[in-house]
Amino acid sequence: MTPMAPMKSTARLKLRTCLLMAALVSAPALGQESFRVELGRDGETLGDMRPVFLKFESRPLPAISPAEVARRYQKLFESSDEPEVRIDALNRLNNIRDRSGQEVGFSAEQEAGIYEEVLESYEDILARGSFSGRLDELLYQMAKAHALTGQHQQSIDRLEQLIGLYPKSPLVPEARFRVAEADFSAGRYREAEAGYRQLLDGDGKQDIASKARYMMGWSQFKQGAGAWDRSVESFMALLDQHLPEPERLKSPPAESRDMIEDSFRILAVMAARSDNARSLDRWLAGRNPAPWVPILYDRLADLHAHEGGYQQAVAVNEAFAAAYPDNAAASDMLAQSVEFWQMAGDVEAARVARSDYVARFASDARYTALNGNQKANWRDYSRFLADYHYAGKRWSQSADYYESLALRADNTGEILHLAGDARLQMGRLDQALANFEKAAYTYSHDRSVESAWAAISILRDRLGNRSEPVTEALASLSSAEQRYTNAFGPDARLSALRADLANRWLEAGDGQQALLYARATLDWPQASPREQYAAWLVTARVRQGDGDYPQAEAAWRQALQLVQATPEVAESRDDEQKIQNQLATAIYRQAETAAGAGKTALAVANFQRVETILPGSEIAIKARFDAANTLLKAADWQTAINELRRFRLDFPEDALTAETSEKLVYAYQQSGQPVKAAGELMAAAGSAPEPWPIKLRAAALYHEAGAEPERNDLYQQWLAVAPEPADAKDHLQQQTMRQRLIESGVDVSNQQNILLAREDASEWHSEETLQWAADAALALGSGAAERFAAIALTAPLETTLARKQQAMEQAQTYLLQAESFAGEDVQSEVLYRRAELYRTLASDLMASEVPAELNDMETMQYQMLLEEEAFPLEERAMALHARNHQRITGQGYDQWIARSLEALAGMHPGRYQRELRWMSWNMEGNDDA
Amino acid sequence: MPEFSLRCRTVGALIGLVMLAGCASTGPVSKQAEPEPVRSPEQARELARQGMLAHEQGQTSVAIEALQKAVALDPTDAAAANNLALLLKQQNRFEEAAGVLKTAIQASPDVADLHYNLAVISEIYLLDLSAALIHYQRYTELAAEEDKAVTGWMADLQRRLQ
Repeated sequence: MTPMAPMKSTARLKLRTCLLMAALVSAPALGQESFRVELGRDGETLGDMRPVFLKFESRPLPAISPAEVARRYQKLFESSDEPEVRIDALNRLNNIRDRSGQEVGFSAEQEAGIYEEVLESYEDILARGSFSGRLDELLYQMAKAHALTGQHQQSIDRLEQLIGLYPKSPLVPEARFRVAEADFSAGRYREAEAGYRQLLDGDGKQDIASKARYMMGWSQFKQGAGAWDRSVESFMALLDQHLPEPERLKSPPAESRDMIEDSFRILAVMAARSDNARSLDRWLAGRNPAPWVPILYDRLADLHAHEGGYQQAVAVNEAFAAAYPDNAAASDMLAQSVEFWQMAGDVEAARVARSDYVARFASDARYTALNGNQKANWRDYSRFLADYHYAGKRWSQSADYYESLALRADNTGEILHLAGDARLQMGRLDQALANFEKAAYTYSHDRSVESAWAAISILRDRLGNRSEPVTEALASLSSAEQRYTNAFGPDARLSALRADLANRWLEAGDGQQALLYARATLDWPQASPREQYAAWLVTARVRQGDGDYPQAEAAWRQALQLVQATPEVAESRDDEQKIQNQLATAIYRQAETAAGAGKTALAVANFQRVETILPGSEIAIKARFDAANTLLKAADWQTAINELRRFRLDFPEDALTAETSEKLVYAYQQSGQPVKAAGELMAAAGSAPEPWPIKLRAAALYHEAGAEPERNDLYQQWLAVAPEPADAKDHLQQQTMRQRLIESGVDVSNQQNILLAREDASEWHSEETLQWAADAALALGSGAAERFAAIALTAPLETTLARKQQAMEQAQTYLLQAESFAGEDVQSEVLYRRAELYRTLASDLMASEVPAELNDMETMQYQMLLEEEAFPLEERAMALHARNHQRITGQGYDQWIARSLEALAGMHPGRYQRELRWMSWNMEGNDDA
Repeated sequence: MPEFSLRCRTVGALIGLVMLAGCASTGPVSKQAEPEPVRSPEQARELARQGMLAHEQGQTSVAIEALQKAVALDPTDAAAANNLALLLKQQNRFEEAAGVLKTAIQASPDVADLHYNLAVISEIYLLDLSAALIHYQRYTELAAEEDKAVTGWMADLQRRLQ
């Protein structure tokens, strides 16, 4: 590797590598540091610069080691007295040392003496004129010996002697070269140029010609700027000779590579000291295109850079790129500019150079044309620029660089992620999202999961912005979640997202989606308590909304358990209370459902469970109440009664308690406990503002139960205060009560009279009330008849008879009233009783006490008068009984007709007294038949 | 027709109620003549005896039922028919009582008491004075000796019928 450390750069190395790699690999170690003239080592001025040292051609080394060969020649030199032999041995030793690069043979101190001895031999041979070999060779060897012993002028003399004496000798070109070289070394550059040109004009060997051209260029260079055009032409001709086609750039001839390299250097120096790239342009104008041109520009740029002229170096690169835009090296030159600016410490200029580079090769066509290293440069610069703008918060530029780089980079996903980030920073969410998603799923990279999450974050942020319908936004986010899950599996962030999605779907009214995400949240074992809590809440709400109350209850319980165990999951301080309320509601609804389905036991159990969740709460109280109601509906009367009574005891102040009484009454009634139902009503009536409607219901229940004392007591109380009937119903109610009191034997006569009077005065009647009135009238009439019959007709007859007649009239009135109320239904009895009144009066009249003061005659007359008075009464009685008897065919036989018939049999036996005749039972065989 | 019925039920069980109904509707219908009572004096006497015992025990309804059967088996048992009519009269079943007596009179037209009792029931409980007069008259014709009371009643009836 060429030691150019001070100005080494990537681009420079690339050029060097192309040119010299093959040579370095294949060439033997020549040990020729003197051949190499490097900048910085030759001196500070052009005058100090020196060409490389040239070696003479020699034969190949033998196969044995150089040291052994040298040892043999050294021994030969020391042991031989023959001048020819000694000279030949010495030449051999020198050749071996030169070619092997080893310190073999004589030491430096020995050599001076030895060459002195050899020169003596040469002189001796030359003087003898008896040299058997060629004299040109002898002169050559002598020149060489002089040179080796430091006798340079003598050496040149011998060489010029050789040229003059033997111009056709094959040693002449080398001799000329040596002479020109001596001129060059002595600073006689014009002479040297002439010598070299003379050599070139001759037909010397190609290798010597090449070296001569090289040295001629140097000779011209050394003459100053006025000769530089010639020097340039010399060096360029040399380059054309050695680097005729591009392939040679990769493998320049090993023996020439230093010359080639040095030619570039000197050309660069001349351009640098002239008009830089413009000089190059001028020198190259008119020449055929050469493959080495880019190297020349490169050397010039390197030269400036080495001297700290980075701006000029960059200018050279840009000039090349401008002059040869399609040259493959143009990109390297421009890349080199970046490095020059970096070396110059001008970061901004370096950035601009990168930017220019990236822009210049941004199109697919230009980029594709780049080689691998150039593409790498483009990518490096793009990344640099993208990062640079990102750091400067120039998001748009940064994103542009990242995006254009992404698909050309190996780490596309990572770059797209950065592009997405930049787009996100500038608020271009759609582009950011697209970048993140590609980075996540299309171009996998180490942090694809972060890209995926960034995409999700954008979608989630959109939800907050409401820039699109929430369901669509949620669908997008859900889709992203699914994609993330499929690609990376669940993690803590995703778990939180799922919980969030569950909530959002719920808010959006899509319970199924909400449920799905709640389930997904809970399915991941590492979900945090807060996420689990959120998921359970969502589950519970959806289930509750769907009417799936058992599931809702289970979910509420899970949520409650979480918030109790981990209070920090709560969203507000009253979360626990709210959940308990919902839990209670879920249980309550289960109870309602069970009740609706006729599952009484389950319904009641659920209603009662509510209290275990929220004891004493409104819903718990209502549940208790509804438990009792459910039992009522299910006709589980006694259990319902127990529940209602317990409810009343437990919640005496609750509004629902007021309803328990009615329900208890109902339950008592339905369970066949009317007395208890009535008792419940009576208790309720005690505190009721209008007690009588309740008491009357109690009375009805007492009646139903046959509890007549309680009932009658209520009837009497009510009838004492009851207003006048306002309608038929009221009338019937009151008459019914009176009738029942009568039937119970309570205040019978009074009630009968009132009943009769009320019915008589009422505008409303029913069959029942009319019948009751008729019965009352009959009863009263019967009582009056009895009182009538009991009045004995004693003296004074007028008085007792008047009383008796008054009683009879009263009885008649009742009886006629009865007939007027009940008609045919009571007519038989009325006829009988009326007839009996007459018959009794007639009989009593006939049996009445005769006044004691009457004598017998008067008594007889008195009795006759009585008979006369009694007879029509008896006739009237018989007529009424006969009328009753006649009713037998029309109205049918009844007891009152039978009794009239009995009376008639007594009063008129000839017509009515009959005895039917039984016949003897025929228990024997019917002999008569 | 047990065979036919059995066969019809079997078929009906196989093919359903419709066919069963069809059998019922298409079955032979023959109007039976009113059955003549099977005269069975011994059984009638037994029933009459049971009626008597029931009557003596105050079981009027049981007695009536037994006697009705007895009279049906032996319409010539005038005593059973007469006493049955009286028991029916006790239950105010006057028309039935009269009917029993009339039937008995058909079988035993010369039993005076049957006429007497039919006349009384007709007069007092059915108010059928004409019938009463006829049977009082028949009674007097069959009676072994004159009954003056009955004669008086007949005179009263004749007056009331005029």
